[in-house]
Order: sequence, then C-alpha cells, then structure tokens
Amino acid sequence: MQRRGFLNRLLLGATGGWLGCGAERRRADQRFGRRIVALAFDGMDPQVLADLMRRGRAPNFSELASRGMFSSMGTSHPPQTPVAFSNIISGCDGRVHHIFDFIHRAPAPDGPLAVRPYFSTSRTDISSQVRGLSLGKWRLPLSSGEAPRLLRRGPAYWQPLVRAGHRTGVYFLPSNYPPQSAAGPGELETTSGMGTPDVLGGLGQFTLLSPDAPFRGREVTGGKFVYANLWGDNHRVEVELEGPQNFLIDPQRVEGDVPRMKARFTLVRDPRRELVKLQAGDQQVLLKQGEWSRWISLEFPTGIPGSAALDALQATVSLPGMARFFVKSVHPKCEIYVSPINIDPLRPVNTISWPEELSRDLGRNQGRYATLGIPEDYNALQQGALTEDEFLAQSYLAHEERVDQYRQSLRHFDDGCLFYYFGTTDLVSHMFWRDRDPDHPGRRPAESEKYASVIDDLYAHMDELVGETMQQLRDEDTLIVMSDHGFTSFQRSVNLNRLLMEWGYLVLQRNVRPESLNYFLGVDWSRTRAYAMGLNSIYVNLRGREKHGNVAPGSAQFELLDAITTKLLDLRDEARGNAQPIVSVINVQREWPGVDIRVAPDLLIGYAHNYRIGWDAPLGGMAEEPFADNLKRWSGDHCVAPELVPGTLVASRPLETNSPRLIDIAPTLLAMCGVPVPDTMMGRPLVTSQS
Amino acid sequence: MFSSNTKVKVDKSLYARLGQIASAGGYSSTEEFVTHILEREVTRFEEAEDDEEVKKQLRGLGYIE
Repeated sequence: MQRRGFLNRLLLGATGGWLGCGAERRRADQRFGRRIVALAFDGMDPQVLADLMRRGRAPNFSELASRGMFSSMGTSHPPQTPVAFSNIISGCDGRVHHIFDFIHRAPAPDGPLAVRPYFSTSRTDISSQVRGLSLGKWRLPLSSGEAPRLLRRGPAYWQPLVRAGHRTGVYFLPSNYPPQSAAGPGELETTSGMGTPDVLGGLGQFTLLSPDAPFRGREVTGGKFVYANLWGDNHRVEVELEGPQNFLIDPQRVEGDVPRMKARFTLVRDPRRELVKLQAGDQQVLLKQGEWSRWISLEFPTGIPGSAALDALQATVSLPGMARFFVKSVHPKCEIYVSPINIDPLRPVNTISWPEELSRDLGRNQGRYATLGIPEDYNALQQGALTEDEFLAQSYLAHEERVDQYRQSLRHFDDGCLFYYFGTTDLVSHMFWRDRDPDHPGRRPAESEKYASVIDDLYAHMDELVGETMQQLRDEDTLIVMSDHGFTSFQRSVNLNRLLMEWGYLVLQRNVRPESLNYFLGVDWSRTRAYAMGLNSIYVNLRGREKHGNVAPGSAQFELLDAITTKLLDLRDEARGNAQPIVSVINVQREWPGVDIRVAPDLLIGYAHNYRIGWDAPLGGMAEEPFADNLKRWSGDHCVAPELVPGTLVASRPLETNSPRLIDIAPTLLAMCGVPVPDTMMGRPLVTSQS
Repeated sequence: MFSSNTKVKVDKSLYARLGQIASAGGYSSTEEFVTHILEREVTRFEEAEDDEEVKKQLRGLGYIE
C-alpha cells in the first residue's frame, strides 16, 4: 500500500504504472468518480429515531430516508459493540472473526486464577518483558515488549477495496486496535477506535484532584480521587500524576514493585477570582471555573541517568501522554478533574493509525484529539467525579472534536469510501436512559424531569450532522447511516453465577461466602460444571479446555447445556410478576458448527427487555440474590436478545429492506464500489437495481 | 524456624505430618520441606501479579463493576 495519495499518484504518473491485473482493479491514479460515505452512530435505536422523525425532530434523517430507505437492521449475537463492529468490518459472524463478547477468557493461565479475563478485541501485553542491557537497577532496552495484537480475525472490507485501487478512510471503528492494514494500489487511512487504551494500558482512568480526597488517595472503578490541597490560604500545589511502571527499571533488581513514573504539574489559583493557572512543562494555561482545557501534553520521565544525552540519541527516556483538565470549582475549595491520560497522537507510544504517521498528520493539521477508545468519561459520572451536566459537556466536547475532524476529512475526501464512527450516542444512552423510562427503579423524579430529553436532543444533534453531510455530497455520491444495535432499559440485573450456584452447576469451596467471590477465586473447580463470564456468555468447565475441566466433551457436555438452557428459559422473576428475564439461549456449537470452542462461549444468553447480567457476574463474582434492581446511572443497555435491539440503517439510495444485517454492510460497500465480494464473507450486498 | 530470629508456629500434629512427608520425599529436614513448599506458593502468588495487571486493564469497562 502506498502511504500517501499524492506520492502514490506521483509515482504512478511517472512510471505510467499499471499495478494490478484483473477486471476489478483500477489504476490508482484513476478516480472512482464518487464517494460512498458511511456514518455509524453507536447504539442509535431505530424506534427512537423513527419517533423523532414522526415528530419532526429529525428532518434530515427523514429527507435521507425519503431519498433512499430506512430500516431496522439485524444486529450481532450478542449485540455488543465489539462483536457488532467485527460483523460490520468482516462481513462475517463470530465463526470467522472470533469476537463473541466484550470479555473473553483464557482457560489455562498460570497462577491461582482458573480463568483469566481479557478485553476480547486486542491484547496489550505488559511491557515488563522488555529485553535489554542491565546497568545497576536500570536496563537499556534493546527491543520493546510484545506489541499490542488485534485479536479480531478474518477479512476487513477495506482490504479488497485497497486491492482494487480505491481510496479508503476508516476512522475510529471499534474492534480495530491496533488498526488493520491493507496492501494494494489503493490508499488506506485508518485510526483505531474502541479498544485503544490509555497510557496506563487500561480503558481509561480519570483523576479528581480534591482537598476532600483521602491523603493517600482513593481508587475507584475507572478512576482515582487524589488529595490536592488548594484550600484556605493555600493557593499553589504541585501535583504528581501516576503513570505506568517505569519500563527502564529492571524488576529483578529492585525490591518490591517497580516504581511508577510520574508526570508533574503545578496548579495556582487566583486568591479572589474564579481562575486557576495550570503549568505543565513549558505549557501554561489559565482556566476559569467551569472551563475545559485543550489537550495538555504530559511527560512521564524514567529518571534514567544521562537522560539528556540519551534523548539526543532519540532513545526513549520518558513516556508522553496528554490529558484535558476541567476546573469544577475554585473557591472555597478547588477541585480539578483530569481526564484519562490519552496516547498523544503527535507522539504515539503505540500504533493508533495506519499509516503510522497518520495520527501525527491529523494531530498537526487538525489539532490533538482524543485517542482513548471510549472518550466519553462515564466512569467519572458513575463515581461522582463529574455531575450529569459536566459529563454531558465532556461528551459533547469529545463529539464536537470528532465532528471537526470528520468535517476536514470529508472536505478532502473527494473520491472513494469513507467510514466514520461516532460513539457518544451509545454512552449518553447508557447513562440517561432511566430519565426517559418512567418505570426505571433508579429514576429520580426531579433529575428525570431535567434530563428526560437528553437522548432525543443528542439524536437531533446527529440529525444536523447528517444534514450537513447531505449538503456536502454530490448527486453521484451515496450516504449510508447506521448503528450497530439499538437500546432498551436496564431495570433488573440477573446474576448468572448465583443462579448456576443455586442450581448446583457452580460449587464454592467450604467457608467461601458467595458475595466475596471475585475472579472465581474460591470456586471448587473439581465439582463445578459451568460458569458465566462476560456479558452474555456461559462456559462449560470442559475437560481438555479449561484449567480444571471435569465435563467430558460430547454427549455429557450437550446434556449439561440442554439442562442449563431449560432452567434459564424457565426462570421467572417473582418480584416482577413472574416476568421471564431470559427469552433466548443459543447453544453456540449447535448454532455455528465448526466454531472454535477454544475461544467461543458454549451458551449465548438473550435477556428480555429491562434485564441484563448483574454487575458482579461478568468477572467471576456473585451477588447476594439472583435478581436485583439496577439503581445505577448506567441505566440503559443493549446486551439482551439481539432481536430486541436491532440496529438502524438509513441510506440515500434504495437498498434491500428485507431483513438487512450487519454482516451485509461490508458486501454492500464493496458492491457499491464495484468490487467483487470475497467468498469468505457471509453477508450479501443490499444493492438493488434501483440502488 | 528458618533463621535465628524468625519462627512460625504450626500445630504439632501438622508438624508431625509434614515431617513424615519430608522424610518420605527425601528432604533432609522438615524445615527444608516446609521452605520448599512455602517458596513454591509464594512464587505462585508473585506470578499472579500479572493477573492483577490483566484485571486492571478491564477495570473501567462501564458494563462491569
């Protein structure tokens, strides 16, 4: 693949080169002559959208639908974004792409855990295995640790496009970290999306600097409260932000844990006015109360002696990152929110784009941008570090930043296939669904009155973006707008592991309290036959696959799965008028013969509307009761039976409306570009004679 | 038990059972056997620190606690 279109065209022009052969290949210097623009709004629900269209709040969607089509779209099983986008990208289901859940598990790890969970789409190995020369407690790296790996398998629709000479842009799609490249005479520009970690290697950890935090700090899910005293006459504080472990310190040569690197900055508040000055390195910004900073570059030095000389030799002596700051309050107490430390696109520590220099080009031309896979900081809202209004402001800020990038891309993308992903619709729906659901147990009337229209307003905002895009497109261009799944209310949680224990399939060691179970530590694996891990998955404790497997593959395994399936479908929630919480159970091997059982779960659970797996179960925990009301702000969800939360498909041209599915998107894009659909893809083109 | 100033108390009957196994297993003393199994277990938990890193990577996924 050529790295730059201009360079590509220049070289081809000079040699008069015909790089390919075969009817579908075009000269790379030939224009396709039109644009296919695909926009994905994560979690945009077709019913909510249809309702807004009826009420006149989504006029551009209505116009788009009248020009072409509007339909719901069959989602993946389970309807989780990593699975759904793997379907979209590959034109295949889990049999090929091997993504079945947000969370997969390794069945036979070392150490005391029997099953080891991990984020399904990529593997970021800890860089403690850096090989190098040891000098005292330091080591000079001779090779870096193992690079992150994309675990999604199978084709990506952009590979045939690039092979056929098309210009192809793929921006921020989930399940594409590190981004998958392509070879051929065409051009590919792709940035990674959901799954891209922060510099700590996790899914994002905020920091709230507050004089109310405990002196030693307090860690919470997805963040940290850090003591920083700007109180009373104290107007200045030096802050240390903890980064990853020092990768230049040899763990064999230090006592205890390898120390973490720290980024330092200074906060000074105005004694009278609502102003705070932030100084980090040579950057200095003045922020008012309620103001968000731009991206601030942060440096995590290793402290290795001779850093300056090594730096001059371009050796890695510090780790760069970046964060946004938000001044919550200045007087009487000063509280500052610091976003998760993102990978800096100008100095990426991991591969976050293809070509690799693309992130730097985007950063230079369009400004620094959020690289964390999910930039909307829902954890900060869940944990009380941001209020609802502050979270919405942060989400809109993240969205608008991406919209600005999209506008610039669209302006320059005059030919080929451009696919852009926006995730704010999903996160805001998760957090504000209870305010539109009068039956939600977590609903607070006063709050709900204020936030009842948040999701509708956001959809209307997306409608404006659709309208703006339509204005940019020419008659010969095509616009496709889609979502990966819809949404429903999450009122009640079902603790599958509790149920499996009560039914005798999961057995605890003596004296282990069920509520204390975590990562299945305390399970008696010799007597356990099945367990739940992830959001929709149940696994058999299968001999030959699991670390302590005791169920024989074959008939014993299938009899067990049938028995569990019957119990799950017969399950009733007495507290909710004997409602049926689980409406479908898929035996994966029966449904998908030949599926790789080393990775795939044995059962996929389809919850009913209003139900979802409990908070403790996905990582091997157990709640006190099989059912519980969900009182959290995270109040909408989509990890239910797929037929209950279809995605959305709207297009400027007529497309097949008879049961379109996510796996049809890749073949459709290829067909629209005149590229034959590979036999390996399971979907079908939705192009009709009117298309 | 393991050095001049470090002692660990164990039940007498357990100590006797440890001694029998140590003898049958060819260990030169009960102390050597106990040291061996304690080191083995400590190593297991030290290796488990990698698991902690794996857990940390999943923390913050909104769908889980």
